[in-house]
Amino acid sequence: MIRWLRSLIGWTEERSGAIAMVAPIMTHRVPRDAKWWYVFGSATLMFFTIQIVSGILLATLYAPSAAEAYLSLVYIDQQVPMGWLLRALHAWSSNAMVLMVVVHMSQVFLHASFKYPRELTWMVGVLLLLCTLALAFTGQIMRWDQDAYWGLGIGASIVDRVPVFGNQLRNIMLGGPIIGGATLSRFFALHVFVLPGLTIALVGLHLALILKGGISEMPQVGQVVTPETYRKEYEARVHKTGVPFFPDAAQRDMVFCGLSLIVVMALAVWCGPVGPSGVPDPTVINANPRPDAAFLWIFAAMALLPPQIETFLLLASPPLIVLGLLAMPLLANRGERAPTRRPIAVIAFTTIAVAIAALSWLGVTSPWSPVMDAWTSVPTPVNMVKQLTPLQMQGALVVQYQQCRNCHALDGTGGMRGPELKNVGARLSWDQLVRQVQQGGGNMPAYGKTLSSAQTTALAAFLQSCRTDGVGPATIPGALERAATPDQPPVAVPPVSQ
Amino acid sequence: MSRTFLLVASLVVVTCGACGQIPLQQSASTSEAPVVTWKGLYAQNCSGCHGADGSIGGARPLRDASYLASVSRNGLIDIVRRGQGVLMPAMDVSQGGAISSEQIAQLVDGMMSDWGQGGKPHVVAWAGELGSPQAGHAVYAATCQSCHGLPDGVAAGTRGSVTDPNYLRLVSNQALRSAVIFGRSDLGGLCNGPYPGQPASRTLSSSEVADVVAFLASKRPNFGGHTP
Ligand code: HEC
Ligand code: HEC
Ligand code: HEC
Repeated sequence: MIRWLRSLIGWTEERSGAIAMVAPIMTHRVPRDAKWWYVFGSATLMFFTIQIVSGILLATLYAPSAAEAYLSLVYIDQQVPMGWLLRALHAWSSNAMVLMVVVHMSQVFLHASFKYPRELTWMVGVLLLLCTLALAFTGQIMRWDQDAYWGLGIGASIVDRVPVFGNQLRNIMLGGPIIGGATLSRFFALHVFVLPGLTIALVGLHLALILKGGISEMPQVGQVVTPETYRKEYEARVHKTGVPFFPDAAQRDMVFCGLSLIVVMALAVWCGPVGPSGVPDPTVINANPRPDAAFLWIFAAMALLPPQIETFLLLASPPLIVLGLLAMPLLANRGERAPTRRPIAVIAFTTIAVAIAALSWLGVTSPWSPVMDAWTSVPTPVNMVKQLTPLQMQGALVVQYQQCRNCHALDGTGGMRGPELKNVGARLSWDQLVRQVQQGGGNMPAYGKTLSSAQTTALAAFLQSCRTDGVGPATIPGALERAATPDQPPVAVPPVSQ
Repeated sequence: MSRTFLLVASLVVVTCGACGQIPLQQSASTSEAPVVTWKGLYAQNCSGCHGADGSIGGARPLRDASYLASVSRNGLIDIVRRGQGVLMPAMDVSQGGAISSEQIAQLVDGMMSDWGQGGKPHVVAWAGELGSPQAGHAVYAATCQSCHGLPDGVAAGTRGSVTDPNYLRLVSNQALRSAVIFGRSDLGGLCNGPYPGQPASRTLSSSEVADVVAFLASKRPNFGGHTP
C-alpha cells in the first residue's frame, strides 16, 4: 500500500514538480526570534478559509432574491440540520477575521515590518483590509433584514452627497433609485464572486511577497534598516540563526489557529447566528442603525460630527485614510524599527486605537442610540393628541408607524438620537419639514421613497402643529409657503377640556 | 508538539460534538424577557398609538367598553395579527411583528374582559358593508357637518375635516365605521351623537352608518389604484 502510494507520488512529482515547488516554501528559513507575535496573519488566513468553506455551503442554501432571502435564512436556521450553526460560524468567523486583520496590521505597524523591502507587502495588506471590511459590510446586507435596509439607506445617503455624480453613484450602488431586488443581486455578486475572488488573488500576492522578502525579524534597537545593505544583512543573519518555517514556526501558527478556532466555535454555539432581525419591509425604515461591530465606530463618529463639516469629512476622510496607509511605507522605509525608537508612531497608534475603542463603546451605549421599540411603546403625549385635527392625528400616527419616535422625543419621551420635536413647528416651515423628512440628512434616513404623499402631508401637518402655545408656525419671510389644503382650514383647534 | 496537536484536535472534536446536542431552534430571538401580563403586552406593543392607558392616543381608543362588547374576538385577533389599513401594523411574528399568536389572543382576551366590563353591544354591527354615498351625504350634512365642516372645504367645522383626501387615504373604511359607531369619547368626539342642532335622541341607524361611511369613502381619491 505504502509502496503503491509512494510510486504514485513519485509519478506525479516527476511530471508536475509540485513537491519541488512547495518544499522550499515550507522549509524556507525564518528568523529564530519570530515568536508568537507572528501568528495573527496565519489566523486571518485560516478564518478566511473558514469563510470560504462555510460561505460555499451557505450559498447552496441561500436564495439571493429579495422576495426569498429572508425566508431562506429562517429556513436555514430552523429546518436545515445544524444550519443555524453554519450561519453562526460564518458570522462569528467573519468578526474574528476582521479582528485578526486589525491585530495583524497593528503588530506589523508597531514592529515597523513595513519598511524596506516589505513596502509592497504592506500595501497589498491594506487592500486586503479593505476587502475584508467590504466583505463584512456586504455580508451584513446578505441578511436582507431591517438592519440591512438601514445600513444600505445610510450608505446610499452618504453616496448621495457626492457632488455632481451623487445620484448616478447611488443608482449604481442600489441598482436603481431605491433599495430593491436589484440591490440584493448586486451585493450578492459582490459578496460571493467579486470580493472573494479579489481577496484570494491578493492573498496569493501577499504570500508571494512575504516569501520573496522573508519574514521580518523582531525589531532590535540599533538594528537600522538601510535599503542599500538590508537584504544582504538579513540573508546572512537568517542563514546563520534562522529555522525552517516548517515545522518550527508553523507549529505556533497551528496552535494559535486551533485555539482561536475553538473560541470562535464556542461563540457560534453560545451566541448563535446573527439576525435576521425582522422581515424587511420597504415601507418601514427600521430605526435601529446599529451596524455590525466592525462598523460601530464609524457610525458613532458620524453621529458626533458637527453637521457643517460632516459631508466633507464623510466623503474626504476614507480616501485620505486609505492613501495615508498606502503611502506610509514609501515615506518611512528606512531607519529604526524598534517601537521604543519610534515614539511618534507609537503615540499615533495608541491615539487611534483608543479613539476607535472609545467610539465603539459610544456606539454601543450612548443615549443617541435609538430606542428600538419606542414606536409601539412610547405613547404620543396626551396633551398633544388632544389638540389635533384628524389629519394631524394621522401625522402623529405616521411618526409612530415609521419609527421616527425611536430617534425623536416628543415632549421628553422617545429616542434621543435626533432633536426633540415638540417645538419643531416653530423652528421649521412646512417646506423645510417636508424636505427634512424626504431627504433626511445628518444621520436621519431619507424617507422620500417610503412615504406616500398622503403620509408626507399628514406628517408635515402634525409636525407643524408641534409648537408651544402661542407661537405661530415657522415661515421663511418672503418665500412662497404651502398653504393649508382648502379642505383643511388652518384654524386653531381648541383643546378638548377633560 | 504533537501532544499539543492532539489536545487541540480533541478539543475541536468535543466542541463539534457539543454542537450536535444543541437544539435546532437556537436562533429565535430571546434577548428580551417575555412580557407576561396582557397589560405588559399592551404597554409594549400598542400604547404608542392607542394611548398609554388605552385612550387618548393617535389611533382609536381600545379602552372603550361599548366598542369591546360589540367587536368579535376573532375579528379583533385577526386585525391585530395582520394589521389594518395603512398605519395599523401587523403584530404577529409570522407577519413580521414582534408577538406570537398566543400572546395576541392573551392580549385581546385581557382587553375584552377587563376594559370591556359592563359594556353593551351597540345596536349597529361593528363591521358591515358600505351603503349609498348619496344618502350618506345627507346624513353627513345633518349630523357631522357642524363639527367636521362641509366637504370640499366650503365651511370649516370646529374639529377639523374628515373629508380631506389625504386624511382619507390614510384611514380604512373600518376605522371610519368604528369612529362613526363608537365615536372618540376620549377626545370628546361625539361622532355617535348627540349631534348639535339635532334632538338628543337622534342616533344613526345601521343603514345611515353604512351610508355615511360610503359617503366618506367616496371622497377618497384612488388614483386608478396607484398610491403616489
Ligand atoms: C435614525 C434616527 C432618526 C429617525 C428614524 C428619524 N430621524 Fe429625524 N432626525 C434625526 C437626526 C439625527 C436629526 C438631526 C439632523 C441634523 O442635525 O441635520 C433629525 C432631524 C429631524 C428634523 C429636523 C428637526 C430640527 O429641529 O431641525 C425633523 C423635522 C425630523 N428629523 C423628523 C423626522 C421624522 C418625521 C421621522 C420619521 C419619518 C424621522 N425624523 C426619523 C434622526 C432620525
Ligand atoms: C403604529 C401605531 C399602532 C400600533 C403600535 C398599534 N396600532 Fe392598532 N391601529 C392603529 C391605527 C392607525 C389604526 C386604524 C387603522 C385603519 O383602519 O385605518 C388601528 C386600528 C386598530 C384596531 C381596529 C380598530 C377599528 O375597529 O377600526 C384594533 C383592534 C387595534 N388597532 C388594536 C391594536 C392592538 C391590540 C395593538 C397592540 C398589539 C395595536 N393596535 C398597535 C395604529 C396602531
Ligand atoms: C360634537 C362634534 C362632533 C360631531 C357631531 C362628529 N364628530 Fe367626529 N370627531 C369629533 C372629535 C372631537 C373627534 C376627535 C378629534 C380628532 O380626531 O381630531 C372626531 C373624530 C372623528 C373621526 C376621526 C377618528 C380618527 O381617529 O381618525 C372621524 C372619522 C369622525 N370623527 C367622523 C364623524 C362623522 C362621520 C360624524 C357624523 C356622523 C361625526 N364625526 C360627528 C367630533 C365630532
